Amino acid sequence: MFTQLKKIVMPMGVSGDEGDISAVLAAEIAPYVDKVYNDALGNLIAFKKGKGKKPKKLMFAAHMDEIGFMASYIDEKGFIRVSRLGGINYQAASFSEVIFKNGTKGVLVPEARIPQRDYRPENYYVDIGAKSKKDAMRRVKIGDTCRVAPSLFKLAGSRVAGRPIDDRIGCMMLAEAAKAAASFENDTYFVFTVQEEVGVRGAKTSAFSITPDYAVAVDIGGAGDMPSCAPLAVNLGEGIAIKLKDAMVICNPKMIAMMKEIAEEEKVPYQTEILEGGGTDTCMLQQAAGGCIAGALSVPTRYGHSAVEVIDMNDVAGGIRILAGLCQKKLN
Amino acid sequence: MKELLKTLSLECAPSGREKAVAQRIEKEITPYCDSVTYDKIGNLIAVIKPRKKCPRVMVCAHMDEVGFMVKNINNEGRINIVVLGNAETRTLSGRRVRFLDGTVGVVSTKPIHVMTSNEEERPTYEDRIYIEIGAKNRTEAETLVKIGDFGTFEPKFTPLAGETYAGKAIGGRACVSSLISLIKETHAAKKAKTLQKECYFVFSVKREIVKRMFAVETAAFNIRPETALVLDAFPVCDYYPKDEKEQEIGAVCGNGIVISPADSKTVYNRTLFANAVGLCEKEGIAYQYPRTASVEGNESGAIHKSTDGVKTLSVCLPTRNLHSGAEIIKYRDLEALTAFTKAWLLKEE
Amino acid sequence: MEQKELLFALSEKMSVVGFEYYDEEALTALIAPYFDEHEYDTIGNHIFIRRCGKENAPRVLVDAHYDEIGLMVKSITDEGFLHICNLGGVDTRILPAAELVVYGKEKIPGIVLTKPRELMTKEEKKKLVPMEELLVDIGMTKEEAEIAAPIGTPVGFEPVCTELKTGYLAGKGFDNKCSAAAVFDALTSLDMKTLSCDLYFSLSGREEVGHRAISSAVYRIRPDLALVLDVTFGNAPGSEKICSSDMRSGPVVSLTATLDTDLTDFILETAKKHDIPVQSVVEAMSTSTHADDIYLAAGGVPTALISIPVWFMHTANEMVHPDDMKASAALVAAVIRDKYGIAEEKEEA
Repeated sequence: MFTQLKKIVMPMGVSGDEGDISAVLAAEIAPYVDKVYNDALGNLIAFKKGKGKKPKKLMFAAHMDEIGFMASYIDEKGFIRVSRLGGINYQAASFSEVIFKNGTKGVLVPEARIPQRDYRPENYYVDIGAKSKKDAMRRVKIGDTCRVAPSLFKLAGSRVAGRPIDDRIGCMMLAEAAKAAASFENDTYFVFTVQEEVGVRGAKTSAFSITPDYAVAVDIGGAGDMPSCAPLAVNLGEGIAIKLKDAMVICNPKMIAMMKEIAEEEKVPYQTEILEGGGTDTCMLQQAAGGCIAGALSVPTRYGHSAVEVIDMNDVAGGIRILAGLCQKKLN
Repeated sequence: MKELLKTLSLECAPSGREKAVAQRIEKEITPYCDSVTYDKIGNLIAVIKPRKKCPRVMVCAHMDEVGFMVKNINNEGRINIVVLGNAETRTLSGRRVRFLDGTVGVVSTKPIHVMTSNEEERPTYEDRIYIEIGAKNRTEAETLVKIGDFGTFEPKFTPLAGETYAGKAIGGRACVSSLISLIKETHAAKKAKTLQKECYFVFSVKREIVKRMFAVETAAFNIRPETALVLDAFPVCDYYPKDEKEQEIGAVCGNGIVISPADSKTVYNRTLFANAVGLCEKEGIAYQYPRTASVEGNESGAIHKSTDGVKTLSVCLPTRNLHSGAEIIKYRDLEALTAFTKAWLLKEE
Repeated sequence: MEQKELLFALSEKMSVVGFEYYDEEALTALIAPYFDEHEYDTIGNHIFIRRCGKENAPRVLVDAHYDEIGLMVKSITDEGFLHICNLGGVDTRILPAAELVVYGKEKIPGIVLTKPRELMTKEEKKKLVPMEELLVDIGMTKEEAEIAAPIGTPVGFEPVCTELKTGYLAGKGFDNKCSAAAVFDALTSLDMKTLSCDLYFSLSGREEVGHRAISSAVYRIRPDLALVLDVTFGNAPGSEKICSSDMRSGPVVSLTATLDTDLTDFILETAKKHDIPVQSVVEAMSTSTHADDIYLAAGGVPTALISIPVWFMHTANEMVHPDDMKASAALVAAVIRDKYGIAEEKEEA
């Protein structure tokens, strides 16, 4: 599963520019579904027809975009100013290697004279080593996206670290669930959404066009078991978390109950999650078009939006079994 | 087009009361369109289609402008207001304003002779501003102005040197006049049987008062275009020392249309963005990028997320003093905008 | 000439302090035909004289300063924007996006630039940009601007006068041109055959920068009596701290220890006698007007001060009510008539 995850973590896909990762995921899931296509905003939608007459529509969503930057200005000396796409933790991103989509490498650094406590996004620039503006413009165009270099490595036991685990882990879980499901009792849509990190944009349009009856988002969640962290009753390795609420959604009790039931049937350990900050695709799934019964699975994650997001692969395996269980369950 | 720009700029259309401008536009475009209608919330929608089925494109510009509403009339006959949209309250002090029925008032300023140094250094707070119309008391005031009445900055249109134009709402209205001229070109293309797109032209309402939703979303919902082009004014501050505030200089007035790869509400379609830049290069149209992608987003934010998604591009007109009683544009930027929209919509691909 | 008509005509004249001669020809054409003589000096005073034809007649000076607050080009940036400084007490709060006229060889319209709210930081939103950082856009390059509006060129607010529905008049320079219009009305209404004095109407200069010119005029005229008309603060929120007066309630006579108390009493009695509405205000030790200067100039002149209440003093939209102007004119005429009238000759005529 680590190799599989690495394959999905590495491709680039900064919000609004998800072409590369979309191609990888399309190839990954195509053998297990009937149809794979991209919509106007670039959401990747994989469709598997359900059995029987008038099956209900079940939609899974995991966002394939990652936080990153966009080149917005190149100065006379060839230094590149970048605007953020998504909730960048600048402290975590300081002094690190960044990579543009065309392979150009650079380093993201703050202006030297700004005291650390005053760092603001506009104080950062990317140094690609260019000699001049002209030199820089040959390598990078305004509007090009870049990101902190991806990585994935094993920690002790079943734990792994790297980026962007948010939310390629969810993408992998969707693909693995499609493989693992013994049958599809519902019209099932595996949606790899775009632009989640800049305001849950792709989930809105894909849910509008699909108009699901049931929808489940899969994303990273928080964890509350690090030293001196905010209290949160979610611990790494104690099972996948079933979302009760976050800052943008209160999950449908029917969906929560159904997921708990499957977890118990499959003997999968689970936890429940109440996130006070942050939101996921779930909120848009719930309210797009005519609305639907929506819920979410969260992979307990430490240090989200950093280059060292940490998860436990055992939690992930349990999550995949719940997703597969939903595929196999006749919904009505 | 300069005459049209002047006429449009002098019309008063605060968000929610766009009728005056809408009627003026309607009169101007009706002879050129297959149909001109209003949707349920007042967006003005003009359609020009070729006979055969073609891709559906929406081009929009907003008609409304910043303004204010009467909140309260006090016993002395003074009028308290609430500002609509991002109207720059610091440009209200001591300025003439006009209510939609033509009543003129002057926005209060405390005499400088009695201001403390603290007061001299900051703009008057919105809740301390009142409008003086010269009424003796509430009763006399109420014969001229009612609670809930709308008003705008006093209409003004001032040509400066170097084909520079100043006036209230001129950034937005310049986009409107550009869209009108695009309609005329589209009509000509249809006559010449070269029109390859089903064209929906939207003059939207209530853009300036956006908190969560843009009113143009309803037009996008009903039209369901495949592609959308949004024209709007772009806030420019190109007049502060470059070394100090480089990051804030979004764009430069006179350097051409602004094409953004992304703003706070939208990451624009990569292909449309790249093609737009290519088109400008090919046609020799002056264009520029904003220096940051964190500029406050425009109506694209609603359009690209509407229904099952719309491929969206925005080109903007650099405007100084945006949302004040005297916005400033360069005519050559407006010409570039008009040339771009024409090439974008009507050139064979 | 109607008072309103004259006020609007005077307001249109450029008379930024220090540049009172700018529209001299037009001023002469407007005023001189109604007077017997006129003389201009080198420091901005315009004197118009009506003679009674009697030898050694006493000289009555009626003064209304003609200069107004304004600005001046201080430097020109590389981009062609103008830096400005103030001439007289200009309120910085009315400057963002203000419409100006740069009085170079030709009149050049200009707009004060203001940073769009969208690009302001939180701290910037709370502060006014100080005058020395403000820039004026006239649409020219540096080279063009250096010729058309070189350093030192005076700058004024764009003259636009409006009559409000309540009868109030609003415009720039009403401090102190509303007094000038009232004095003109008073002096031209008098029949010189019935008077034993000569009338000197001084449209004096340099008041707004510290009363620098009036004593010279007094030195040359050597008046026997002087009436000064200026503006005072109309009651409004925030004006409680200073001596302010009601609008639309007649001219304001200053009660003060610095001026001639007999003359002041005479004015109040005259108003009562002729049923002219009048108010009074206490300005114990100083009136901060030309009256203080005239009283002590050239050996001393019995002087009194009559003021017209205005709102929004020192902005581009000062407001005055015509009833107050009319009553002021009536009061001035009545005072001169009662003091210097010749009853017998009047009957003969």
